[in-house]
Amino acid sequence: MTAPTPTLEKYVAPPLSGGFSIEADQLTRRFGEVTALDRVSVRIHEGEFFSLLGPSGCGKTTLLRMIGGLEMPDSGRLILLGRDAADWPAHQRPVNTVFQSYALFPHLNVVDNVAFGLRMKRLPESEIHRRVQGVMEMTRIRELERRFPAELSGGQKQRVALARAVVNEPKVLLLDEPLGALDLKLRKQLQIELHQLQRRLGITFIYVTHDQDEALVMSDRIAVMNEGRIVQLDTPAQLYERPRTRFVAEFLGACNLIEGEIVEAASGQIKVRSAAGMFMVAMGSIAPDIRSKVTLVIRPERIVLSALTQSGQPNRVSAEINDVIYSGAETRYSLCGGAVPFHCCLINSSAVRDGFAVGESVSAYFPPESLILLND
Amino acid sequence: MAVNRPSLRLSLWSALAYLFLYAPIAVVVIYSFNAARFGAAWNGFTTHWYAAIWDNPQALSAARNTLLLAGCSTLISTLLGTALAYGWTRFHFPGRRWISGLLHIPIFIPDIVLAVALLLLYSLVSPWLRFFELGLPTMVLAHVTFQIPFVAIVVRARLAGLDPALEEAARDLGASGRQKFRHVTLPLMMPGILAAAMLAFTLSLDDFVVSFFTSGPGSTTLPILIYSSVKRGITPDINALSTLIILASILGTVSVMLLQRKNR
Repeated sequence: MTAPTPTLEKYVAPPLSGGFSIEADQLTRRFGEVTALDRVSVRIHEGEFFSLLGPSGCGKTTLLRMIGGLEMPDSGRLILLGRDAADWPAHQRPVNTVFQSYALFPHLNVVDNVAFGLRMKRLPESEIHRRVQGVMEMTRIRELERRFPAELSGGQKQRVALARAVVNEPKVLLLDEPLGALDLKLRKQLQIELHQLQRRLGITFIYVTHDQDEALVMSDRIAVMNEGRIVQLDTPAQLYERPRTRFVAEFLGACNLIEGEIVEAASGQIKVRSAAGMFMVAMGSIAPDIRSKVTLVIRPERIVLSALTQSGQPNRVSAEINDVIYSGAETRYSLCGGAVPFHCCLINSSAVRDGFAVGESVSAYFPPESLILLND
Repeated sequence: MAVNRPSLRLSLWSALAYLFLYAPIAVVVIYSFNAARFGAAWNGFTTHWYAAIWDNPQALSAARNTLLLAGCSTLISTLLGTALAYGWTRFHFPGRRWISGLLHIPIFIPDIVLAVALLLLYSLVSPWLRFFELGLPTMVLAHVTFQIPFVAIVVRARLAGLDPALEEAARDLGASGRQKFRHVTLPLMMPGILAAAMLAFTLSLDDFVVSFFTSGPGSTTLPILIYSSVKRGITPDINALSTLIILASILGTVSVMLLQRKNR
């Protein structure tokens, strides 16, 4: 792994002290022919907001269910809070889950749903009442007390499910796409609330999602999963700025991919030849073997457009604008330079629209520090 | 969806079909209020025959037997059928699909075949076990036999429709296996269990064939009593008794429907 580039450091969460909530070692789980989890090893810190991000079927939910005790590994070892979880039944683990379908008990009203876990532990009713009221206050569902799940909206069900889990004061809270069924606006609002709740409770949150924005907004660290494996584990900023594979680059945010070949490597810089022109790239994690095929990645908002002046310089591509899409906060351009199509996006920082028009020829600058070199 | 009104012809056909279904029942109900002692002539309205039932010790004892039989058999078959449904949905074991298939066969076996089979079995066993001498106990056993498949199928449908995440949530929230069953699974199954019990009760209430074959002295039920009375000619008090049985069946059916609507 490379050292983070200096510009990223301010985004990196402060180092977490203390032990690990989860230490997974080579966890494997097969369902018939399908390998849901393939030798997954990961360590999750105490008090961390940790996301498992990936497309459906990547194994993220299987890993989550294993931590909750609802699924057992075929092989590998799971240490939960310093204890081997192999013989630790689900109902005794200090772990609670917010289920994707919420799984609220339809025959119980909101208070009884929230109190369920404490009742199972046979706590005195006075303490149950105090804790349930406290949590319902915090999640703002007090006025829903007497309602039944069938009478709640999606957002309300989500809050009740959260309250029902949190009231047990778990050491680890598992969240299985808890915002998946909600509309965008509510989702954005609840993302922030969840993030604040995690900071307030200080417990480990493990969050499963296929929504990259959600993971980027809330997480301390994200494990990107694909086909039963963790393909990259990093902070949100590192994942976005320094993806290590094409899959990660494409899964997190929009990106342009330019195929090329290394022609020169000297003094911390690599020179890449592509159909769009020559590019200078900072020497990164991959071996700079001359003539090896590589892929250059750049985020659309990092490309700088200017009126066509000089050409033929490295990192500068003459291009024609094929399409312009105005979307309020930003304007997206589709361009083509040297038969290579790419996208670029400019923030509309003033009301005056001084962008470019379709058919216009421009010069696109790809800053070396924003170019990521991948060898797949 | 557009609301389509049926054509006049279709309405007429439907009305005919319903007439076909309900005319016999209507005749029985109407004639139970006929003042005439014999025959089809209408002799004026009376509720005398309903009152007469109360003075008929045979009818009262038959009613008592019928309710006792239906009550006991429903209780036993509901317990067994529910356990069967739970085991079938929650556990995986060899021959699981065979058991499901075997569950359906008794429903299709003609009553008369089942009745003869039970009679044969009981008379084979009774020399050794006095319990199997024909009477109310053998009738309860016989009714349980044909009720179990119905109960199991109704309860199983309910169980299959439950979100498995609910039971996982119970475990996740710290419920042991027993607590999970008591506080989550059983309450969620309950509408299905009640519907199944109602169905079983109704089936027992108006069963004639199986009861007739497995009954003994002193265990006459209402359907058997009516059958033997009819041989001496149809009298209005039989019509009154039949009307009461129809009423009980309707009540049972309606409550099954209401319970099933309640749990969607």
